Amino acid sequence: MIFDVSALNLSNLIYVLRGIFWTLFLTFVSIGLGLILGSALAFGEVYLPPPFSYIFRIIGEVLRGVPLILLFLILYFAFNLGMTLSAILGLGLRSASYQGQIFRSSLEAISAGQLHAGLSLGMTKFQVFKEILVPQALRIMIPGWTNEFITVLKDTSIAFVLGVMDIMTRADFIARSIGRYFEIYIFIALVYFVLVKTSMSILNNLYERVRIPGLGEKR
Amino acid sequence: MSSFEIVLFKYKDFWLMGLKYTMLITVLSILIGIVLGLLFAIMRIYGNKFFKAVAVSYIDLIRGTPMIVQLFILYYGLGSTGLVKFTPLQAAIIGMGLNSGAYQAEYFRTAFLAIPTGQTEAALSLGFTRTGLIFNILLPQVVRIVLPSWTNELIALTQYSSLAMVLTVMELTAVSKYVGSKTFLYIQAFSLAGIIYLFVSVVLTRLMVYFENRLSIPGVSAQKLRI
Amino acid sequence: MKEVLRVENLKKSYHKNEVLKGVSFSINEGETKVIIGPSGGGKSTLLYCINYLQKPDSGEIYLDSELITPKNIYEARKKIGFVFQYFNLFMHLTALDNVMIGLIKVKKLPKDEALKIAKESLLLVGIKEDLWNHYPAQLSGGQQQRVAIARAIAMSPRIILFDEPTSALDVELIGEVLQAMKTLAENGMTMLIVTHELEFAKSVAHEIMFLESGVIVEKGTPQEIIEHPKSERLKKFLSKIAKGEE
Repeated sequence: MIFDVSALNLSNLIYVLRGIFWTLFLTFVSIGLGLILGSALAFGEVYLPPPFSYIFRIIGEVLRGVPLILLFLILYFAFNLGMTLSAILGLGLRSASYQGQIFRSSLEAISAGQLHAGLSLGMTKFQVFKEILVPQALRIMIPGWTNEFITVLKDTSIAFVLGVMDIMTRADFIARSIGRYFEIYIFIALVYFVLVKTSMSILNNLYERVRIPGLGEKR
Repeated sequence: MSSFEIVLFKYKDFWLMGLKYTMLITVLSILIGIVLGLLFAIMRIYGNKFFKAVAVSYIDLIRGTPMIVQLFILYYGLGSTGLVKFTPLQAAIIGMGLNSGAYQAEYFRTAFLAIPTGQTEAALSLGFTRTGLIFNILLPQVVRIVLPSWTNELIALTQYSSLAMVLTVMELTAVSKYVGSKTFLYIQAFSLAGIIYLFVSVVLTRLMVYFENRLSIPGVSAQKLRI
Repeated sequence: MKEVLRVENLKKSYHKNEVLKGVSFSINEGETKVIIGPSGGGKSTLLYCINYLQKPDSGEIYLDSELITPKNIYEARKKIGFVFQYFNLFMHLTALDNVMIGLIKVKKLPKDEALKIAKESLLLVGIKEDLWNHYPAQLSGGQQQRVAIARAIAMSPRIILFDEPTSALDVELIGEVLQAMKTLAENGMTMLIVTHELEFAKSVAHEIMFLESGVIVEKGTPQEIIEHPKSERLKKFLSKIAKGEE
């Protein structure tokens, strides 16, 4: 039989689905880490004087230039970090390099006129940053950030090479033990699909709610 | 010999093999991706309801699931059903090609939509058929608009080709892990792999910029059309 | 009459290009002065230097007889309104919030008081209640510029600087903005306006200054400047304007 539905019995499915905890845990922690490190990276690149800004830029380029698996392997084998920590740091550092870019380009999308208008009212530079630039940049960021979230969510599956017990690893484990690969992998493909679509609709919803007409669109 | 030299020279042939497989997978899968991407984009824009639905579901399903799962379905999954038995390398190339096709369909679609409708109107008024319009008028412009996104796609595929490692293909990352485990010089082996990846990215980017300039026509570019 | 703003020997260069070559003038309370001149002549730079959005190279600027320095610039900017060519309304705030934000964040007024002032300011420039909750992108250019004027007057500045306030607008929207500015002039607001609208200048300006290549070539009453220009350069400029080339 090509597709044996009996391979998808309740106990197998529950075994696989319990991995959702790790899949989501890795996603949220790495995205959070990436957000913090990414904004630091963006600031370093934009506001620090030349020798330092180059260093930040090179760090970003390297993180974007090497495969995620290689990052995992370096953290795990070369730095001897545990598998969970390697997974979080690998996903988080890589995401930082992308989120930094998103944050930077959002700030750059805001015209100098907004800064001038704020200053001309007597605001300090910090007030302009806090009241004008950040609220606008955060909104402009959301679509790009949604993509990044989805990418990280899907890439948590690569932590499989480290053995983190996410849905991917659990699925592989069950598939091997019962000898039914097709059914189990199709099943987790569906699970990922549902997770991706759900997060997308939540994030799109958030965007619609905070979206402001005309913001981030070119004149 | 320094430890770095051991890693590099003693395992020279392995590194070359790794580089070969990495490049082979990347280049072949992007070519498959271009063909599929164009096909699905045209289906989605110009197709009837049925073709549209097929294209949309394909793009959605591929982009909504991780590549590693797709590779596993193709290699272990299909293999175990006895329908088709791919070699690991074949599975990697086909899987990544199918994956890239979905992403490139979106690049192509954006590019088609970025071309002003006046181009279509002018071609039709000259008596072009729909097919003639697509291939003679729109496609030459579309290709120039999507070129920059191919650069990104190439670099993404170079990195994702490392997933072939879990299908036991000896591409670069697999080689670095192998060399590391043989010599216990993990840091050196992984760093070397990282340097090669960065080098490949730089070369590919340069190459694509060269093509972009060679093919450029004033006024027809992603930047000019703001996509 | 009390002097509000005095500019003395203001100079500004970009790289090696000297945009302002020593500009001096002053404005008294309630006066409206207009600056005309060809583009690239330093008009915008002059305005941007007055409130230090661009730092002048040398020269002095006095606001109510007090020298403006980088130290007191934040205090000074509260008293100098600025209306930009491209409006520069805060894109993430509604019309009402655009007018209120300076009152709340800079002047630290309580919210209800800020709201009251904002409403009055918007009504003064003819922006009615139905537009108050619109975002900038939902307003026409003329409406945006009037909100921007309301944002400036809400701060009750000593003077407002206008940087070509109508040059980014479609012809049919220019009138409403000029009308709002006229209202301000009639209410005794002190204003320094860079504009190409000569008819408007004639009707509101106490004095017109002709700025070209970084110097004030000629100044005088609207009659003197527009009807009886003395210098060749001003004559040439006026004939260009008449032909619609500037």
